[in-house]
Amino acid sequence: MNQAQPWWGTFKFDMAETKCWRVGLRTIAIKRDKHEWSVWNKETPKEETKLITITPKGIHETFKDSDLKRYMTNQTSNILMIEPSLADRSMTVRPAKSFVILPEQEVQVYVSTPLWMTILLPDSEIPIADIPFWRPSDSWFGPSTMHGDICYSKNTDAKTDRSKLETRSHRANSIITIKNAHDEPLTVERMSLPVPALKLYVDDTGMFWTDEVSILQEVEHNKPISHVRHSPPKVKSHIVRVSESRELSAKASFLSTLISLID
Amino acid sequence: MLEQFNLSNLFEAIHFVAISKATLIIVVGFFVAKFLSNLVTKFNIANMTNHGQILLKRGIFYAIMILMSMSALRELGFDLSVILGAAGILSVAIGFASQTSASNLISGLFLMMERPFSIGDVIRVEQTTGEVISIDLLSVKIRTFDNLYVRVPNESMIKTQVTTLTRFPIRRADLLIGIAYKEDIEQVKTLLAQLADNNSLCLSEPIPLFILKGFGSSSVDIQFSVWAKKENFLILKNEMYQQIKEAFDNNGIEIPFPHISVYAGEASKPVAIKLT
Repeated sequence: MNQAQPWWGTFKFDMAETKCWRVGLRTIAIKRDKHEWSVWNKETPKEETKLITITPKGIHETFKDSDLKRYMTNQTSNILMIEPSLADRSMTVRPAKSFVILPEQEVQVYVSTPLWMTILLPDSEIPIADIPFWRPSDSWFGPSTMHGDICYSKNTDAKTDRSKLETRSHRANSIITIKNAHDEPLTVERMSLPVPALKLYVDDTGMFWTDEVSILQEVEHNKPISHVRHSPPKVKSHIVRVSESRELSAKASFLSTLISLID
Repeated sequence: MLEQFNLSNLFEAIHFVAISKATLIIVVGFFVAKFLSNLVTKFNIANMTNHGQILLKRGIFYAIMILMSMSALRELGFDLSVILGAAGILSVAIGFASQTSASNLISGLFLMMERPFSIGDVIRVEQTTGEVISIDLLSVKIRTFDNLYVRVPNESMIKTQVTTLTRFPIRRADLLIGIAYKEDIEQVKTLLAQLADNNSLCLSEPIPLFILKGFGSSSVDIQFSVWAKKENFLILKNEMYQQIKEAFDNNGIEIPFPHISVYAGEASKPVAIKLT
């Protein structure tokens, strides 16, 4: 397994220096000038599996075909904070093949979700930029086209074997425990993962983990109800929290507002 | 004579005081009403919508102004019960004279109760599509996308079909596509599904819909329907049409235009043309 080098933390920038975060051809470049930070975002359609590297700008590199955003300030500091963040909306996870959980059984599946690169100035909580490495497709999760939420969607293999997970520095793994407390088999065609309410951790190998999500699926008053809880992931290696959840979830309200997370 | 003069002076003085008091009440009342109604927008009470805030603001303003006017009238020596009685008779007369306004007024009240749309929504009324900028007692004001100010009487709003385009968070874009008869429909179907899949603004769910609409005069007509967030609706529609054209060009799929085949009889051969 490849050991991923940290691409987040505090970075020192000299005047007119450009640093590039790259995953293959996918590049996010940041340049410091006296009164502005420039951020180039070069997207690629296909997601790559390489690890994120930080390199200086190539001599002939111009970023002509990249999207440029300029952030003005009185005086730029020589420090910039980079934080990995989870998606800003819930993620609808659709297994390649739907699976069935038998009555009174509990299963654990591993699902990965894309990361965002959050750029912060020192002493500021509001990011200057929040860029996904690969933006997932928009989707909708709800009982009808009138009621529901906009979310992202993602296809997953829903792996059940921890050893089959790849280390990818632009994705985070989530352990989802699903307990079918109903007396009938539960077919899982898609799940909504409340990603903005989860914290992000990294382990010794550089693999990202989100809070572990436990879903208890049961039927109350003839309606399927999901009780959701999240807690730090139980993984063998030592983990360190690298970012807080985007939304501070008051647990009680979080549980009561959700109806069914599984379809 | 002198006594009479003094008496009329006294009456005038009393009138002056009463009128001054009444004016003061109206002026102060106006500013108090303005101040209190502005507080509603300043402190967003109970996280109300724009529409709700404006309704509450107007309600407070008019309630205070009515109270102040009544108080001012009393100050001037009017008997309110007589005025209200006269107002009843007057309102019948006014009602006959201003049927349209009264109808608009009542329609406005119904609109406010029913709330088919709010300020900021995009609606379509007959041929007009635009953003609702104000819902008043007599009319609804719309700003069209070519920046025209349209006033639609409330009576028309009640009578005609009004479509609220921004009511729900997601919208479906129906893309109408024609392909030549010789093309492989299955290939086109796969290609369209791929395009929708690759466009991150196109919602994965509800899944895009492929409908074979029928055999047109020059093409096989297809409807491909994709869903988007209401804010991205137009962007997605434009992007999809552009991407479909590019994908069809790259894959040699013909988008036909109306063809006319000329036959000069049974098993006719092409008509020979000679230029001299």
